[in-house]
Amino acid sequence: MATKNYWERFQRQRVSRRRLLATAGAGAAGLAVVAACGDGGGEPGPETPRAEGTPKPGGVYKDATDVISDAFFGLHPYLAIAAGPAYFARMYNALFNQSAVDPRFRLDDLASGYEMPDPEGLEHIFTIRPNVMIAPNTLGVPERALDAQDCKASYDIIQTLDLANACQFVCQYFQNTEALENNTVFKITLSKPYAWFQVNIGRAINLVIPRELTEVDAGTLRNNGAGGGAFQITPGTFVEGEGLKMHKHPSYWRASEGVPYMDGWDIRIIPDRAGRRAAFINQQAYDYGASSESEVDELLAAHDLYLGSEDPTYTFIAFTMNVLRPPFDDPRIRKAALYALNRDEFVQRVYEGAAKPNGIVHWPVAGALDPEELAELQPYDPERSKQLIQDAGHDLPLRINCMFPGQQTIEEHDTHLPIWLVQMEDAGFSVNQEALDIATWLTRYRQKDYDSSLALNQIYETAEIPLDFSLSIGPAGSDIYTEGMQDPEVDAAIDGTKQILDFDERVEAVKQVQRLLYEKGPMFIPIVTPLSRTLYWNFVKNIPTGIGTSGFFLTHQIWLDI
Amino acid sequence: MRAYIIRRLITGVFILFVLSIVVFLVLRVAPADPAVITCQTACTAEQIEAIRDKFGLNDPYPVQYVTWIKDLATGHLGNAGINDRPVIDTIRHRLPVTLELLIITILFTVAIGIPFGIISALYRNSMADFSVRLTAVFGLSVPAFWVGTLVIFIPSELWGYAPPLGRSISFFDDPVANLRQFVPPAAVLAFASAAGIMRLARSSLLEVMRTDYIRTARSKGLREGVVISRHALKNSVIPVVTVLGLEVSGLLGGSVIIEQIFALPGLGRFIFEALFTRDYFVVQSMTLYVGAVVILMNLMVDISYAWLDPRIRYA
Repeated sequence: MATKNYWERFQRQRVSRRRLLATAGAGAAGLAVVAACGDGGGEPGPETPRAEGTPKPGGVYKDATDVISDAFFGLHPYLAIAAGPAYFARMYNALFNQSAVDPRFRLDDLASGYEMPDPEGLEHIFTIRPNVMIAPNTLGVPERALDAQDCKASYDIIQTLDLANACQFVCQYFQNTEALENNTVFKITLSKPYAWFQVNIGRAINLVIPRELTEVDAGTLRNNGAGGGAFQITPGTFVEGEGLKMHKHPSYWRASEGVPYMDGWDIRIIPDRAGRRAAFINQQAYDYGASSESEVDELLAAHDLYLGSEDPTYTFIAFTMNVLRPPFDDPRIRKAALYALNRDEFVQRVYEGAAKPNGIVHWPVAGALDPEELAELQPYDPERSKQLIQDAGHDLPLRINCMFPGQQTIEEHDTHLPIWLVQMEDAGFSVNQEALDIATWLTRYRQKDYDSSLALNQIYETAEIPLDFSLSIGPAGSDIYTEGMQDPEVDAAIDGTKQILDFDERVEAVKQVQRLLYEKGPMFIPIVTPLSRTLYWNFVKNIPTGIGTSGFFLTHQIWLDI
Repeated sequence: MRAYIIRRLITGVFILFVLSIVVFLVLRVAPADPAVITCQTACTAEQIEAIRDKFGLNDPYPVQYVTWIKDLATGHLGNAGINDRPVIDTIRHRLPVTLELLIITILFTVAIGIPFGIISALYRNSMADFSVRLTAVFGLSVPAFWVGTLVIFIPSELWGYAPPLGRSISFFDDPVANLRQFVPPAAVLAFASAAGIMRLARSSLLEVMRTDYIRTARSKGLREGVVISRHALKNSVIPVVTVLGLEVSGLLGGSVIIEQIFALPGLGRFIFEALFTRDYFVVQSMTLYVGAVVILMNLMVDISYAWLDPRIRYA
């Protein structure tokens, strides 16, 4: 693996139609575009549970989500958060999608070729696939092929659009975008090397939309859309608080291969877990995220279901401390909080074993420290915590303030909080709980108006953002959320990891940064990362797993045996 | 009577005015910035300022208040801050859901609460009375969210049945599916309401049955059925009507959790979501709307007294 660097391996990845078809045959419609390892290692790709049988066309997938999408910019391709991005990969197109969790998987979508001629990684050149047609739509966008002008318009609008999710990536690193060679080639020039370019270019929050849509008002794009993806919003079906419907794109660029197999999606918003479970059992929804291992076992025993995957969820509850406020300005207190945590107890009691303890970079992201080293760096040692508190000149117990979002929909807090409180008490802390509604919590978190906070974070598939929490300018790069470590040495070390293009070197650098943070008393402490427990009815076939959020791009391969 | 109604309406307007000021100020004192919440994770300080400007949040409070009231007076309830959609459109879509839930709930409440209350009173200290009272205590004791969860959970676990969840079905499109969707949550809401009405109807009827005019009616030789239906019931129902009026007001707010559990996209959920996102325009407008409904319901209740009891005259 070490003979080629990360970028060289990616440069060698090309879409092979023959390989595509071979994969499809072997996987019974495994239509993932799979790129082999640069060093020739195997035929990796998404695992596809229950992929046996010949794909059947037709059917509508019934989906239930708990996320209130109307409160988060609906389906605007660049503004929507929460539920929205999960649907963009169905509607719009990525140049390519590189899995952040399995570097062997790359899906070439709008770009049929990719080059990075510059060894510094500043120039990125994409050959645009000629036949990616825009779906019939009610927005007046012509049913033409997408081209490099669409790519340019998309990334240009992200830079000008207030609140665009991808602005941190596009605004910070893009120096120039060009449509070349009669709009068949798209070129991005970066202002500085950026190690995470390839995993960020295909994320669902910065996809390519028809350039006509960049002129459409944001209100319209929250409800409607048009793109070259496998499924399109059925106009008028996105209803606030209820859900939406999608239908298949009749001239999808892979239509000749018979995909997408399904006719569409019927997505409902069901906020309550009991309701989602009932809807699942009643087949009003075809999948369900179980809350525990015992629930998985119980449902599997009672119904004709299967467990889609036990992939990590790449998310976690973290304890964050403000290093500018006492007592957390003292590294000994931060270390005392670190040693107070018995992560195994969370793993067993909250997740019934289906989770793993985290370091600063969470398992199983590349760059996470191995368990043996973590056991040394962050041992569960409440007596040592008490000693550190006393060494710092405090009496026991040390009273600390900790805020957290107390909204009932964030189930993880209900399960983590009682255990964490007892562990902190055992380690010599007395926690003044500040349970806040989500609005108040978010405002105070953003303004860094807290001593410490317990928070549910988003999905992080690379080491980049978990490390960025320790930056003096915070994880968003705009001086919000955290004060970081307020340490120039740490800032330089984290920035350094972003410039290292060689994968193996970067992984080692990420580990070194963590060791440095442990030495200085980390202010950001992820607890545990659970496994996914999504159950499906047995007639749902070919669900992609093992590639993280890249699975959003493979909905065209799902089929229903009904 | 007309003068009384006009006077009550004027009082109602004054109450709404006070309510509007209270809601306006309380929201602004609450420790969260709607512009930040609108941004979620994606804004610079300049962008947040731009949002604050757009929604007039940088204006002095009196200016913000006057702007809001002016908009209200012209029928413009503002736009929901986060998704920037007109509040009135959302109300138009969600009101029928809450209204249907409310109507079915009240029907159930009346249909269950009053007859069983009467039975309980007429057959005092019988097995029927004990059963009704026990059920009423149970209905008042258990929270609606727990009953709602059971109503979803038990049929789905035992028989694989669940009401249609997550998308409202119009009665005019599919009456059967509509009733399948609305009857379970309405029954849950009505359970607690009917329990209260049952107890009230029972005690009220017992009290009326001990009055002199009932004794007189009996002494005239009227049949017991006539005594009850013609003389006792109408008088005993006055406090029940008062409570029913309050129930309607309470159900407007109390349906939030039930709408959440049964995934009904009604006004309750709308307000709930708006509160969590500090959506000033939605919370302000909806609070005033609920306030107006409460005032109107109280007025209707008071007017109904005069109809139920001719001795009551409003001057």
